[in-house]
Amino acid sequence: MATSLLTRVKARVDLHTSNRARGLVQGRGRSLFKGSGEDFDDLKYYQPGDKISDIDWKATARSGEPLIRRFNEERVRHLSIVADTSSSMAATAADGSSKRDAMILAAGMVCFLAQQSGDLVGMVGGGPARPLQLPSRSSDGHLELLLRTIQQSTTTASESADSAWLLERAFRVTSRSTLMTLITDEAHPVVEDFALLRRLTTRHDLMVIRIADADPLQGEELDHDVVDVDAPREIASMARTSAKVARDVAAYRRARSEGISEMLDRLHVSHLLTRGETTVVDDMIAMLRSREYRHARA
Amino acid sequence: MVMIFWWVTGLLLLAGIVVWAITFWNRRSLRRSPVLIANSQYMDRIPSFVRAQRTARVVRAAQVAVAVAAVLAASLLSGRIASERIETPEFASRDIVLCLDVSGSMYEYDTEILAKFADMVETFEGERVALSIFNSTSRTVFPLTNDYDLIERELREGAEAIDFDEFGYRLGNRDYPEEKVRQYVEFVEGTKGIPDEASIVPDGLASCAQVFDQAEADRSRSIIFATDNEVNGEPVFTLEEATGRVADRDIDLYTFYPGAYECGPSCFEELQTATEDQDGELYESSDPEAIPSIIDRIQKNQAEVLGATPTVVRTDHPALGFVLTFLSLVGILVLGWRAR
Repeated sequence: MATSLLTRVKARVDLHTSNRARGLVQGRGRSLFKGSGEDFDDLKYYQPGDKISDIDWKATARSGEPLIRRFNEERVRHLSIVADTSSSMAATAADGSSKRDAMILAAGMVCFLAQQSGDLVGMVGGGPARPLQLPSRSSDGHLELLLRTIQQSTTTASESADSAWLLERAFRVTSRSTLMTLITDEAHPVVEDFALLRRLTTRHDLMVIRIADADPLQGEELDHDVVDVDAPREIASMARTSAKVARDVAAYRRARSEGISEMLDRLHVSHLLTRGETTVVDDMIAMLRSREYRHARA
Repeated sequence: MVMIFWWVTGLLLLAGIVVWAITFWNRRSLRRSPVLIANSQYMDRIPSFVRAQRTARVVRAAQVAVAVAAVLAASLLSGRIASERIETPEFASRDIVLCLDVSGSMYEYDTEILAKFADMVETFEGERVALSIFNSTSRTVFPLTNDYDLIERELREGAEAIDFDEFGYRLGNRDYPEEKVRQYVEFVEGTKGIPDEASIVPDGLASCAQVFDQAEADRSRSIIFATDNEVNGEPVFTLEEATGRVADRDIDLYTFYPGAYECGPSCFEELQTATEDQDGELYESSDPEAIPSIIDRIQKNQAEVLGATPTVVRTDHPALGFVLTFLSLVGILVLGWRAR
C-alpha cells in the first residue's frame, strides 16, 4: 500500500465533491460541524492568568477594558468514531463494494474534515473479546493509524456484530462530550438499543452512518455462492431465484430498516443509509449540509 | 438369469463411480469466489425461504437418486439380462412314467422324486408324464398327459401327501395332524388292494408298462422306477418277466434303489440283474437328497441315448431395464428443468 489511507480518502472526497460542495470542505470545514451552539470567537474580560497574546487589542481599544478572544477548550472539538468492526462489516455492501471500504471512506471523511480544522479524533471499536480504542489526537499519523486500525480489525474472522456492547462501550470510554459518528450497517443499531442510544445522545452529538447490505439472495449471480459471514450455509438456487422469497426478503429488510430509521428519528439523531463505497461520500455531504440548517429550520 | 455383457455393466458402473469421484473431489472448485453477505439470519424465519430451501433439498436428493437409478438401469440394460434355458428339442417326444413304490420303506425318496419332477415340469415342452404308484396293488394317479398345470399340481400334492412316515405313525413315534393323515390315506388309496401283502414290485412295474399308449407313435418311452424290491407277498410276475415286458415294449428303464431296508443284498442283486439284463440303468443312493442329481443324470443319459444336443437358448429381458432407464431419464429432465 504505497499511499496512505488518508491520502486516498482525500482523493476520493475531492473526486466526489463538486465545486458546489468544495466550499464546504475546503473553506471553513468547521461549518460542517456547527450546531453545538458554542461560538469560538466570542470575547470575555481579561482575567489574571489569561495569555497576553490572546488579548484582542482592537476590541480592547474600542471598549477600554482588556478583552481576550476565547481560545478555550471548546475551540478544539472532539470527534469520535464508533466503528462496528464486526465480521458482518467485512461482507459486501448493496452496491457490490466492500462494506469495510465504505466504512473506511466514511471514517476517512470524518478524519479529513477534522484535519481541516485541527479537531481531535478518537475511536472505539472491536468486540467483547478484543476491544479497540484509540485516544483523541489530531496528528496525521494518528488519523492514518485510526483508519488502518479500522481496516485491519474488520475481517471475516472478527467477532459477530454486538451493537449493544459497542454502544455501551462507547458511552463508558468516551468521557468528554464529542461529535460521535457511529458507522455500522443496515441491521444496526437494533431497535432494542433504544435506551443505550438515548443515553449516548445525552452526552454526545450522535450521527449514524449505516451501510446497506448486499441482497442475500443474489438471484442474478448464480455462478457465485452466497455465504453469510456469521452463519455460513448453502442457499439453494431455487430459493435464490424464487420471486416470492425475494419479495418476502425485501419486505423484511425494508421493515427492519424502517424500524431503525424511525427509532433514530425519534432520538433526533442524524442518520443515513448508504449503498456503499460509491455513494457514502455524497450521502455524508448531504447529511452534513442538512445538519447545518437543522437549527435554522427548527 | 444371466448377464451376457456383464463386463459392460461393470465398466459403466466403474465409469459412474469415477465420474462421481472426480466431481466429488472438485465439487468446490466448480464454484467461483463466493459473495460474502451479512445479517441474513432472519431468512430462516421467512416461511417461503424455509420452504424453498426444503424443496431444493428434496429435489437435490431426488436428482441424486434418479441419477444413480439411471446409471444402474442403463448399466443393467447394457448388460443384456437374459434368461438361459437348456433345450433339447428331441425331448419333446418323450413319455415318462414315474413308477413309485409307496410302501413305508420308501418314505422320503418318493417325496424327493415327485418334488424334483414338479420343478422340472416348467421346462417341459411336449413331454408327457404319468404317475403310477403301487404297493400291493397299483394305482395310476394320472395317465400320460401334457397338461402341465395338472401334472405340476398332482406332483406337488403327491409330494406333500407321501411325505408321511407310516411306520413311525403306526408305532406311535410320529404324530401327524388329522388332515395330513387323511391326505396320505387318500393318496395311497387303492394301493393296498390285497390285504397282508406289500410291495408287489414286479406286478407294479408290469402295470406301469401298461400305462403307455400310442404304441404305434414314434416316441421315446421311459419308466423311472423307484423301489427297494422288498417283495412281501405273492406276485403274479417275476421281476425278470416284468422287466422283460418293459423291454419288449421298447421302454427304457431307469431304476432307483434307495438301499436295503429289511431284505439283504439278494433283493438288490435281483433288481440289478433284472434291470441291466434289459439294458436299463440302476442308480443307488441311500440319501434322499441325492435324488435331484440322479434325475439330472437320467436326463443327461437320456439325452445321449436320444442323440439330443442340448442347446443354450437365451432370451433377453430388456423391458425392466429399458423402462427404468427411460423413466429415470424423464426424471432427470423433469427435475433438471424444475431446478433451473
